[in-house]
Amino acid sequence: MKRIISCILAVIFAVSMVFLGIGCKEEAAPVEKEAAPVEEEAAPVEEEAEEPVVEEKKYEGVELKIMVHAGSSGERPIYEFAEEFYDKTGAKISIETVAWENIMPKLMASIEAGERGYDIYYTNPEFSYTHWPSLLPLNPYIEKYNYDTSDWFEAAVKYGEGVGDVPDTRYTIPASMVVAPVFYNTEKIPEYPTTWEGYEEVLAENTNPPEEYGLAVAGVPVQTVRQFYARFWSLGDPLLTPDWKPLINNENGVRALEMLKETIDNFTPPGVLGWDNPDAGAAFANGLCATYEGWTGNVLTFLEDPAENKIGDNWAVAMYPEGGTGNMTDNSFAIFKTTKNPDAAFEFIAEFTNKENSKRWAVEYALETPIRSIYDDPEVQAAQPWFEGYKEALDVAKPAFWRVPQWIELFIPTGEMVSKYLSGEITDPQVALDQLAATWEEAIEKAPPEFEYME
Amino acid sequence: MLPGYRKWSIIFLLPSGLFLIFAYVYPMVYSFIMSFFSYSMLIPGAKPVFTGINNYLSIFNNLAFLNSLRITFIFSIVAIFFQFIIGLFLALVMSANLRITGVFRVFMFIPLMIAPVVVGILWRNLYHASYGVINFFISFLGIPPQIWLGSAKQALPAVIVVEIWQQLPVFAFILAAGIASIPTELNKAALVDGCGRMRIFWHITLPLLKPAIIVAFLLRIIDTLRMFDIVYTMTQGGPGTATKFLSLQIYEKGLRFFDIGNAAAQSWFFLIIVLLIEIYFIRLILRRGTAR
Repeated sequence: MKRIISCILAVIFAVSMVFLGIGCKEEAAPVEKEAAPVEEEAAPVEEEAEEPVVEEKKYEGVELKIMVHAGSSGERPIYEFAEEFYDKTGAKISIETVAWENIMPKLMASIEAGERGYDIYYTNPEFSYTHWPSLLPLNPYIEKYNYDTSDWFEAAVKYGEGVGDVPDTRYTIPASMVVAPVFYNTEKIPEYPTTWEGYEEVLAENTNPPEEYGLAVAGVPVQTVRQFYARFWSLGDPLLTPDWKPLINNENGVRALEMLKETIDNFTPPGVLGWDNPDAGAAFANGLCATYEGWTGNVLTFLEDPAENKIGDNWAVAMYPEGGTGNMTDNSFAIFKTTKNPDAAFEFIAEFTNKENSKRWAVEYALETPIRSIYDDPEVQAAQPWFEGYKEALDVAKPAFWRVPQWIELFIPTGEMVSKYLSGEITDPQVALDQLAATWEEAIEKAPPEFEYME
Repeated sequence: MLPGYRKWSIIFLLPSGLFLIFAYVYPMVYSFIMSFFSYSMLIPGAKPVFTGINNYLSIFNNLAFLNSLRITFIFSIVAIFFQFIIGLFLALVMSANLRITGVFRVFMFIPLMIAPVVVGILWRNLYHASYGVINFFISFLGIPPQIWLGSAKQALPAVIVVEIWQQLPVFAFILAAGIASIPTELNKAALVDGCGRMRIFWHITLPLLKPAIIVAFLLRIIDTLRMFDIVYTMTQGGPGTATKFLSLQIYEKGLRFFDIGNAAAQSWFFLIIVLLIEIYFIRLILRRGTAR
């Protein structure tokens, strides 16, 4: 009897596991929005009642699962293009948008899921510094499809290759170049300053509390990094020496941190250390602040909305004074090695990012393409006048912790330490930066890179 | 016991038992094992390396962890203290059989029904230094605008207020249920003996309410120590580390830095602290039961 019951239980268990497995397979990548298949209407047949010839599309039956960085400027174009790609090739695109905070766990889970995970992801290339062994090297496909990268910004070429210390190998294709420039109100600031001194002067001129302030910034810890780097880099030092010793706590680091604190204390609305990106974007668009330092997407949303925009077209974009730049990133496509359809995946990416479509996304969605000549296109300039200043910012842009797998362990404590000083939790900038340097050293020590640090 | 009863019990219990093992026991055992390893999943090709109790020992030198522990306990103690005092008052109001009690109870429930993330975003806007309603109202009292979440000194109290606001009904309803279970004869007898309302409250209501108070404390302590969503949406742990609770610290270690071994050790250390508190309160309840 015991044996019979054991056998029955074993069978039930096995069958449950099979069903469970099937269920898991279908739910491996939740689909938020799928490219809807378009049913083509049958053409009216007037003369001959011949059997209609159904032409099979190139990737009929293929399904590509894409994880897209939620809120990135590429999100809406990707949805639009997914439908076009389906119509053209038959490949069905399932898109899942994921908030930045959840991207790392999602990618980890996807790698564990193997074939059942994502085929493509679209987010900052920093994630590839960690996951490159699970990604498909794209060079053979670039060659095979004659994909043109000759017109890219220098930063897009330089920082897109050699990840994982694999020379000349590329794992990502950028669709947009992201750097935080300075947005300024052209009515309040007719002439944009080129020095920090001049910058502070115009901020002071436009600070008249509580009606108006000079600057809007997002001050929650993680968002303070770029403002600090912009000031630090403008003073001329890199973040680390070639042999990975932090330079951030040198006298330029202290000066940069003090500059930032003075600016925030004197020229921003009260409470900005509790502000996130949308708060800062809204404060610029509604005219409370004369300038905005931050990501473009977070302010364009408000500037495009007539209900939120109180400054009309009286705004422009410029790079930070004295050659400063916030940390550059981009939004890039990468393909997982485990994809069953690498060609379909690459074709999707290649078509989305080709010159014709890049121009289209730039005009329609303000997608900051890596193709430099598009910024000089009259049609693009008419649609996005701010691209002119943005191009200058991209010309000097550079990433932080390029190719370092533990980049996030260096990035997040930076924001926290800057915020500690700005909020008065630590009153001595040297102490704050020494602590930050110690944190960096500890993180780097976990797996010292075998290549030199470079910016 | 009927013949075969035990066997069939086991058979029917087996599916849920297996589910529990896979969904709860296995992850816990795995995380406990991982707490003895050094393993950074951010490093390509990294493998877990056994380091004994190093991860646990490093907790005591980890200033960020100890600071988070301190903030979490301040948050928990202050929030629960005020929840208890105000909750007890509200429980007495609810037990007073007033006409408005029904409506009052419904309103009391509302904060509890709102998702914590929504609560966080809602209060973030209310606290906004430039556009927030709170600054607007305090201006009528002659108080200048405050910067609330942008201040290292005010952010933690601001989050505590939100916690008190949202979870107050838990205390109020548990205590109201406790008051309802006190036999009315005792109150009547005390009134006949000439006791005043305050004396009845101190010598009858409060002592008999102790089991309910202990249960409420137990539930709230566990919940406040685990606080994550509200503070994450309101401050992301800032400014600086002013509101970086232990849950945020462990989340960062585990799900941002993927330092799995350290995150597991910190989680287990935290779990042990919570367990010790829980055991203390459960023993209090059991001791009262035995004394009766």
